[in-house]
Formats: sequence, structure tokens, C-alpha cells
Amino acid sequence: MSKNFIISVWIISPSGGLIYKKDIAGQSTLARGNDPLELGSLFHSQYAISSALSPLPGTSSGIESVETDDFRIQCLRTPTGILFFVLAEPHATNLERTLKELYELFADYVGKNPFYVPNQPIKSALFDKKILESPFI
Amino acid sequence: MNSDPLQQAGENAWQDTKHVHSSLLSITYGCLVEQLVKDFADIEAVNEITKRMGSFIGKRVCDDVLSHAQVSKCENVKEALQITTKVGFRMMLNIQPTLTTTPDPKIFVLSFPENPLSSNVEIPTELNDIAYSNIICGVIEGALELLRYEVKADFVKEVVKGDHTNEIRVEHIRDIPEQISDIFET
Repeated sequence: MSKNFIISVWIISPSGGLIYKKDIAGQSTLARGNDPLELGSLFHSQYAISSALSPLPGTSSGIESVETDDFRIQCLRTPTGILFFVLAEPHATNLERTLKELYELFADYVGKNPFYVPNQPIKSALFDKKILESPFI
Repeated sequence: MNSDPLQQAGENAWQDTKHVHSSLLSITYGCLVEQLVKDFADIEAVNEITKRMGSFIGKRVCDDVLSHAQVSKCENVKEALQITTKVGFRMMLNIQPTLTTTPDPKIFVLSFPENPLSSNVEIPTELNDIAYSNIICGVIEGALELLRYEVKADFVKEVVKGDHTNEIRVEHIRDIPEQISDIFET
């Protein structure tokens, strides 16, 4: 179990494709085939719908968090359109900080890698390592 | 503490970052331009290439700046340029250009007396048409494109050409629309 009660972290590209998913808690969730890809894209669409539903168009941030009995989801959408979200235990706190950390790690170890092609799946051992080492994840 | 949160974010980002000697940057960039001038007889081509390289840098550096700027969204091109000057330039070059609006709401001017890229440069007369630090204009264009603002940035004054300050004119061409249909079609 992660020290910050994080279960998994997901990154969705601005065009809606799942580009990264990492299980933190050890046991794999949703491991079957393309399920994560489909769910990631669906969540991206839900996010887009939620911000389009706003009575003040164009100003809503969309879904920020989803809470259930067994887990919660916290989201961060960057101004550049990347959607980060984490699945965590219901009692996890300060997930905003976790997401900020994730965004900074992404900017440092994915964005600054000249051989990373934007919007493509992230396959970076260094990024994996930094995520697992981070005190906030 | 600084009263302007963006300015404070820029200050913090600068403090938190590891620094290298500015000579490394100016020499590296100088060699790059030197090689481009050798490779291309046409100065316009050199200007175009430095701008295009800047645009690639802008697209990569944008998230780096935003992750430090602590802004969740930016509503218009002016806000985007404020983040660019107060956080981006401060964090990357340790300068903070003054952002001025003009009577035309689509045109903005960034002025900065010091430019670390060209502080040791003298331009020979035969290269008078070179926009030496054009890479900076490219960075602005690339970064704002990622925020869905199409802009055209160009130097209008350069200290290396005898002006008293450096000025970049930024023209807002259009907002790149984000439509829900885009998301469902991809």
C-alpha cells in the first residue's frame, strides 16, 4: 500500500487517449486487456461533458473529484489540456498536492525528453522511478 | 512576500531551479546561429529556423512553466502573456519583460533591456537582417499555441542593432477553438 493511499495514477492526452497508467498499490486494478484504455477515454469524455454542462459555458473546470464508498478520484486538467487523475483510498488527503507533483514530474521527465513525442504513450523508466520515489505519491 | 501571486511564483520557480552559467547558454546559442549562418546563405532561412526551433522549445517548456505557476486555467491571451513574462521569462532567463498593451487589443509589446542570449554579440553589417534572438519569439509562439492562442511574435527593437531596449511585438491572430466534437471525433 502506498504511504499516501494512492491506488493508481492516470494521464490522458488532450485528444482523449490514455497515455500513462501506473498502479501504485502493487496489485493491478483493471488489468484486463484494453479496459484501462477504454475507461481512460470514457473518463476524458465525462470530464468534457461535465464542463460543457456548466451553466456558465467555458468557465467551468469540469470534474474535480469523484467520491465513492471505496475509493475517490481527484483530477487536474492543465491549461494545455492534459488530464491527470489519481485513484486513492477514501481517506486519502491532500490529493491536490499529489497531482501538482505529478504535473511537475511530467513536465520534467516527459516534456523535457527530446525523444518523447507529444500525445503518445509514455514509456519512460525514469518517469516510473520518479513517481514511485516521490514523497507525495 | 510579493503581492502579485504570478510574480511570486516566478520568483519561487527561479529560486527552486538549478542554474548553469549564462555563458554556456549564450555560447551554445551563438555556435548554433554561427552554424546556421554558414549552412544557409539566406538570412531569412536562418530567422525561420531559429523561430521554428523556439516553437519546439515553447511546446515543451509550457507545461514546465505552468506546473510552477500554480494557475489552473488562463482565460485570455493577456493572461497567458502575463504568465509568460512573470513566470516563464523569469524562470528560464531571469529577466522579466514589461508587458504593455496597445490601443489595438490584439497587439501586445514585451520590452526588456537585457537579453542574456545576445549580451556579448555584435552583428556584422552584412548580417544586418538577422533576427538574432528570434528563438525567443518562437518560444512565445509555441507556448501560446499549446494554450490555444495563435500569435505572431517578432522583434521590433534589438539592443544588438543599436536600439536602447529589446522589444517583441506579439500579435494575437485568433483563438484556436476547442470543441467537444473535436474530442469525440479523435
